[in-house]
Amino acid sequence: EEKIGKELIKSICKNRGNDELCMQVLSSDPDSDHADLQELALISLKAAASNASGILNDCKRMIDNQDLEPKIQQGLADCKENLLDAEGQIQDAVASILNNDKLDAQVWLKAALAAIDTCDDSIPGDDDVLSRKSVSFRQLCNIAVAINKAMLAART
Amino acid sequence: MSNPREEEPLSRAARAAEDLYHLRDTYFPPNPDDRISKLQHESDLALQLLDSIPPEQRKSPMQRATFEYLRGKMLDVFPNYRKEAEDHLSKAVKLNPSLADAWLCLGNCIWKKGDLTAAKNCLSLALGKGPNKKILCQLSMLKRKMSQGAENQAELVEESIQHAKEAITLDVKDGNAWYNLGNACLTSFFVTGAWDHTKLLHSLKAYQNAEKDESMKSNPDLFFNGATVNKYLENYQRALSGFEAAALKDPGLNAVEEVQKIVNLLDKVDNLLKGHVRAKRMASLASSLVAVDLKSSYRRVTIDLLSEGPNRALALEGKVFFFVRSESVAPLYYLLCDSNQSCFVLSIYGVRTDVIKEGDQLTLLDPYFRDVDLSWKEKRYQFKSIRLDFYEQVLVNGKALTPQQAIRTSIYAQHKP
Repeated sequence: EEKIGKELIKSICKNRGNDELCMQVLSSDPDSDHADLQELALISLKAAASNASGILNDCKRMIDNQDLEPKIQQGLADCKENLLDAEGQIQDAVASILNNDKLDAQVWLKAALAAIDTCDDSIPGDDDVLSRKSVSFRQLCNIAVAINKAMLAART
Repeated sequence: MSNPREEEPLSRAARAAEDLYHLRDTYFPPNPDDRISKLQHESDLALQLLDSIPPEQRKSPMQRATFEYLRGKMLDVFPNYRKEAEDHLSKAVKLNPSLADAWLCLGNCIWKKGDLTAAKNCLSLALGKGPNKKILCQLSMLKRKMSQGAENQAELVEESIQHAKEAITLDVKDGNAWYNLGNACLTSFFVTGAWDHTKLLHSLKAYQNAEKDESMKSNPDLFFNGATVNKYLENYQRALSGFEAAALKDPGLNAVEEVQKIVNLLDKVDNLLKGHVRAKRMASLASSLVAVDLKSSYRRVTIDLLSEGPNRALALEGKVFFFVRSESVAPLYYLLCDSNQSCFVLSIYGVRTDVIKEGDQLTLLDPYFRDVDLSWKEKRYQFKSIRLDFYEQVLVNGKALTPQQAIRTSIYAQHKP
């Protein structure tokens, strides 16, 4: 008997470092109670996409700040390009999961994570606002990666 | 236990081999003979460096394996097969079966010999010893090569795509892995009839990710292939810039010819729009447009009401003025006008060349619209363009096309609303 809903969410989240966030995100959707693996993957990706949009909007607002030094402004512009990529890649991952192509989903999820890394690297300093916000994006993507791996494992 | 100085000669030789291969992949002088002679010269130098290593420093099985591998690799840098290279590489993998790079070189060498099945077996055997992104990429390329002329061509290309994706999951920042995926998706586009533009979009995204890797900046093929995809997607400005960049990096590619093909097409469209569209004929054609019965879900529009990009549930009527001959296999190009006498270009995939004729009335469903406006070499091109990706999107003189009139008869689900 395949697990669904709360039982499935617990088994997915128990192996994760930040299981509180994992439980919260996967339980937040109205359909969570009866969700299977694919549906849970889509729930986490929806949260990741929303999170990426939020960071992108913050980035755009910061770019408009004329008081920033040029180096930071250039970094923010580069970051914005990568955030746009990450947004698109999350959508690609959603499309792949809906098409039942889990390897493809893994490719785009990893690409989105790489894009957010590049975004962080392009902004000088180690404790800027965007870097802190991107932590949650990584966590959300990694939840989807874990679910996707579970789906890959279930297939074999 | 090992003496650092004992390792140094083999490490230096390994670096020389890497430099040799970097030269092979990035040195494209105008005269191809210069390339061959320089490769020969550098290869000789690398081999001399390797041979200068004292025998006592290549005594252990590990050292001997590395020595044989490097010698084979240096000998194999040329396009043609050399048995001597294969012999050294075979010896290397026997001495050290864990030497992944030796397996990679051996597979490539056997490939040059023309024994594709043996090359595949070699690379698959190597993968059995552990995932390796370089071997996955090589296997991906080999599957595409094996697909040429094979009965199960599409299946092999699909396997090629899967190998490429596996390589990317091992290192998502590896530009070569993304480049390889781009090539696999582009090949898939062609072997499935050159109609499925989602394969082109996947290919383009892969090439864009490849370009993020600094080491790929010196790869002329990446720019050429990316430009090819942009050409098929009708991103003409990007295609022209890409082909020009490729031509600068490797004059041997026919990138200049590809630029000319695009310019020829644009010039043809431009000339037809400016010089050949007689007002009288256009008025006559436009007024002869009749209302075609449509599903209630479609709203009839003229071209000025279309948005950039996809236009769902809209139908555009047009009369065919001209068939625009091009040098590409796909798509087909036509010049049409709507009832407002606005002229536009139609590019359509998946339809045989004899299906649409001048004078036909076309009903274009869910049209993808682009307002083309680009400049190239002091010349500006401006025209409205409609793209249709599926034969189901067009009615000819009020009638839907039959599968026999399409380029291929397979059923696909993605366009179903």
